[in-house]
Amino acid sequence: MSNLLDAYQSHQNINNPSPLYKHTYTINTEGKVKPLEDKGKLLPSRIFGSPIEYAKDIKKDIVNIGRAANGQANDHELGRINDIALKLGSLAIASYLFVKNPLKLSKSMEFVGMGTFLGSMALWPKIALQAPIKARTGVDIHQKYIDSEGRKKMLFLDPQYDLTDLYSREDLDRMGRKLKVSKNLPDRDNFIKQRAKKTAVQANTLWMLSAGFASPVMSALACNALETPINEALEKSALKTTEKALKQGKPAGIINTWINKFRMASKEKALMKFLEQNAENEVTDVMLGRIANEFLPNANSFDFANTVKSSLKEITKNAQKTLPVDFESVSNILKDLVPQNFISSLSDKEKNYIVKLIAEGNSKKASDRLVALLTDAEDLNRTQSQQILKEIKHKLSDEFKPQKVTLGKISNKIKSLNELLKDFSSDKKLVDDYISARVGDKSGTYIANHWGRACKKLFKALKFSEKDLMELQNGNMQVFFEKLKALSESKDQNTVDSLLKDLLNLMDDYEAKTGTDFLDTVKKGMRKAGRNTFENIKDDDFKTLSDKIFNNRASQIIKKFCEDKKIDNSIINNLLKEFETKVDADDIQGALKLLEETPLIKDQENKFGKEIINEIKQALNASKSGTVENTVTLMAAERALGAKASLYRLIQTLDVLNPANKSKLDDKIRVAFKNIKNSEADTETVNRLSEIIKKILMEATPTDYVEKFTTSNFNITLDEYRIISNVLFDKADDVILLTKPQGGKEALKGFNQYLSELKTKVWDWTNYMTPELKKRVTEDNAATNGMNAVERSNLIGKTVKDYMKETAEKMYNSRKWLKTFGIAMAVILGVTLVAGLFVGRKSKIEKELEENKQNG
Amino acid sequence: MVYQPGIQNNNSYRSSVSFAKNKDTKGKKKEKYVHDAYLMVEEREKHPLLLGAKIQADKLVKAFTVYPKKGLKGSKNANFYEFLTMGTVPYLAGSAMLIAVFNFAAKYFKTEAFTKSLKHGQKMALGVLFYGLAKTFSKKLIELPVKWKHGIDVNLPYKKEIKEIPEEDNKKNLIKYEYHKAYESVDFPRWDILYDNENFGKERNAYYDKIAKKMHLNTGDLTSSDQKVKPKIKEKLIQTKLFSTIASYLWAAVGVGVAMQEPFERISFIPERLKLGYGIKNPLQFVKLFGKRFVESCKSFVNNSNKSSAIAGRILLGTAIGVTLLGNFKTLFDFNKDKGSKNKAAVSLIDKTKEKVVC
Repeated sequence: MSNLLDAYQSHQNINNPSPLYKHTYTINTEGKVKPLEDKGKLLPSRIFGSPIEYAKDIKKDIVNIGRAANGQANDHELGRINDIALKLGSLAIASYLFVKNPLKLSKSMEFVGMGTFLGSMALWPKIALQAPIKARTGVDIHQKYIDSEGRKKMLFLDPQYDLTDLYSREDLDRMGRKLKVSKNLPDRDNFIKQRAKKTAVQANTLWMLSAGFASPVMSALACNALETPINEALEKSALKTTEKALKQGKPAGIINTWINKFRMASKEKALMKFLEQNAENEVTDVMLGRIANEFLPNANSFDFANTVKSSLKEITKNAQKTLPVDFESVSNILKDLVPQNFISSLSDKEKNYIVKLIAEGNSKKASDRLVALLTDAEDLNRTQSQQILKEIKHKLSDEFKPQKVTLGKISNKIKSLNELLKDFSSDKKLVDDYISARVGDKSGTYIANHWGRACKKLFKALKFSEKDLMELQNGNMQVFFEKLKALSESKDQNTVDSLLKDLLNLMDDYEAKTGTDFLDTVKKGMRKAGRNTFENIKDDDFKTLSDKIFNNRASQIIKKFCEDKKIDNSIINNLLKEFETKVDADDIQGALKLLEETPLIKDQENKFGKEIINEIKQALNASKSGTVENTVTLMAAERALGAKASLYRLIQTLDVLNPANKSKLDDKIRVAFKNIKNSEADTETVNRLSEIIKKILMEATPTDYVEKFTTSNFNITLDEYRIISNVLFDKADDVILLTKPQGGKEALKGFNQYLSELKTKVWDWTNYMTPELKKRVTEDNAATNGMNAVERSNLIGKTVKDYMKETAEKMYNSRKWLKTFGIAMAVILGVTLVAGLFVGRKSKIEKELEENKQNG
Repeated sequence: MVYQPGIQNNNSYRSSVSFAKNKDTKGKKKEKYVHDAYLMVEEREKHPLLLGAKIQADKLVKAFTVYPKKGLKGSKNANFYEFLTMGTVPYLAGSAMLIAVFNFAAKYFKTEAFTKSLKHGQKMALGVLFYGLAKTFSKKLIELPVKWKHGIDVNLPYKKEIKEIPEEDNKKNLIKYEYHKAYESVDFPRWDILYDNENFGKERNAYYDKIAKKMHLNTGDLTSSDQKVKPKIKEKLIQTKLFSTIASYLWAAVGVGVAMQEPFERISFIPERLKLGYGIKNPLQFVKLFGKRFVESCKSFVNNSNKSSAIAGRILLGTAIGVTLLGNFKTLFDFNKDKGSKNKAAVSLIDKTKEKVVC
């Protein structure tokens, strides 16, 4: 040491030493310098660490990040910070995609994906290497230790940094036993330590080689497995929270409330900016369209913006003061252009109409009217009338310029409209969410999952192979028939029966979740939303909008009537309350009866007259159609019906196609044939009809269900049409050819209703099928049957062929994917496990060495 | 026993101890080794990209061939460098598998599902690619300013010569080379190989002098500049590593976000589809189209029609930029001047009242 110091001294400029070394050339440590006590120890090895330890480590890491930002850290800490940054980055990705994805399931899957990926990275070496190798050799390749500084590290991370001294006697003995190191070997401990190190090096290499292949596949498979339960859980929670929110009248959860507020606030800000910027500009149609579509709360509803726009137009019109016009000034302008006797010949009605048009600023229309009258009176030809029209238009519009309405002028009205719509749309959103969770047109809703559950039951019962699925997705339904045939021939009568029972039970749940209760709740929710916002609106400018959303004209009539009769306010209020409760429950007759029999009013001989009752009746009927409330309820009902009809159609098809029921079907055809034709049907006819029935059930599509019948596809007579109608659409108890299906009672009720509607609304075409009216059934005359194309389409539902095709495709895709990556995972795991068997084995030289040592 | 600061910088130690043999092969420039290391300053200055590529290629080849072979045998010579280098294998294999998971099964699907699955798979593949690229290159946003301002090249590479222990199947060819970085460890930077390098100047302390000047550390007196700048370098090194690491993962997230944008649905990586759908005939046209879609996607990332998506995009990008700027701010300016750099630096390293470990 002294030599080195001398050399160092000679290198320095002794005469002019650095100030640093002037006083610190040597440091007297007064004998305090000595090696620190060895505090390192092994940590108990677990597959999963304790959460408390984990939390402590995170706390430490956060402190370390702060220290590192100021330039104080060591390699170990920086390494741990890298791991944290990796996780933070993944979290950032998942959070971004969570916001970006529109669907709840995909949102959740982003975090599940991140979790499973990080989890797979951590878990893979543990299950494929650490556990099996530890079981076989006793060496924990991921053994952790804590060093004197309290840092937790892996024992075998750096093979050149030997820490095997930390092993206890028991550890070494255990490893020695499992590694089969003979007990009387000289220097046995060292030998075991070397073998442990070797095992770790081999296993770590295997880890690096396999992890890249295994982790993504493992993570993808885990995501795949978790998707269904997560979807189900999300569905359940959505059903629950939306119902609760609607009941309580406020969105569930702080985040939702906050998001709502944020959305509204940003829209409002944009509206205010727009109003300010365009305050001086004249109101145009485009401008109102933009306000309605972009800036005002659009209540998330189809065509709602148009309703709002027409309200805005009304506001603009009301703001536009009429021009002071009389017919004299008009005739003064016209006298040079048209003959005097024409002006005087105009009737008062025409004169008033023209004045009114001009006063409203519509001089163009007034000119058109004038020229039309003039052309008639004077027999003008086209060129003459065109010319005179041009002149009149020019003069009139020059003289009576319509008053311009600037946006600034109506901005206060728009602001109060904004406030109204804000209230309404937040109330309506609760209803929308309630509907969406049940019958929304997106994946993850009750209706969509319900569909999936029915599919699963069907495909599981029929046991389709991959090849069958391939055929089905190509539209080859033969596979389906063969399956059913094989089932009945194998004397497995129960399969189709129990499948039908399962499906009917599922439909029970469907009827409960999307049936009358559901529609009732929607209707009540909408009425409440309208009532909350518009009940007390007196401003005439919002009358059209108010009527469109919440029609309370009937109540207003009653109120006015009672007030005129000077009836006590509290009586009026009680009466109105009772009346509205009945109206809300759709009990119109009851509501009217209530008015007729109101004793207090009767006693005073002020009872409602017939006229006023009629007026109220009309108002109530008007409120039933065309309001937002009705549109929303109707849409919800249609969505619910579409899916329901498709599933009932599937049930009916399965039942009719069930080969076990063939004779029953034939019998039914024979009976119907006899009833209608008064003669016995021959076998050939029965077979033909039964084939047609099957084809209709499988393939007839909503839009041309009836049309197809009349075309060459089904060459049948009117009587045959009636026979089929009787066979297919009689009561469910008859149609379901099963003797007595267990369970599904609600569903059977629903099914009966569905069939009777189908019979009366879709199949009741006898009038159109008479030979005299051999014309094709078109959309127009279809509508005259009381149903439009959409309603008919919903009632008929999806064809079984399409249903099978779509489902087969989905099922095939997911099975193929699962198979491909399931096999891949199995191969990777297998190879790694087998390779793991060779880890830690004695090499030839090691064996010799051991023998030599043992033999001395 | 006395404790001697700066003991490793002494002359006799340098000249007398060298583990490496300085090779002189024909046609090749002599690589001048200090101890066991050859600092690749010249190559890095002249052809930084070429050198980087050469080192990466060497490491990549070895990660897939030599190191696994050694590791699987459980060689006594296997070391931590090899283990870390083999980390490339799961990185690349994982990326490829991730792309495969989303794309491989698509070919069995029917038209509609195929197109849908392909669009999604394509975006996922781009996500993997952009993740890697953004992560790698974003580090430069912090590392390069540090190099320009302070002269500290955190990636300065050196070639390390290793003499291995003879093993059963290898008794002759015992010299191996590894590529390290002088500053890869903040605990043990290779201070020793930075002395006496002609590339920095004739003076023994030329490198440290240069950095002391760049960092404006008492430029009037450069005596024992090494002692003065080492703590400062270490401090900047830690900060650079910290911020470049955190920022790189955030930029990687931005990369994934950009890859997930809708415009990338309007380009296909399948040549036939490209030809049919976009009339692409040559690679240049493809590059142009890809560039266009990339720009559109970047715009869509921060200016999406979906408001919440746009806000999330802006927050993510803002965070990445924010962390990068904070990193630049912290690394480029000296906030710890009073905490003992300059003359007091070395003194402050030793707390006389505490016990010391001598190893």
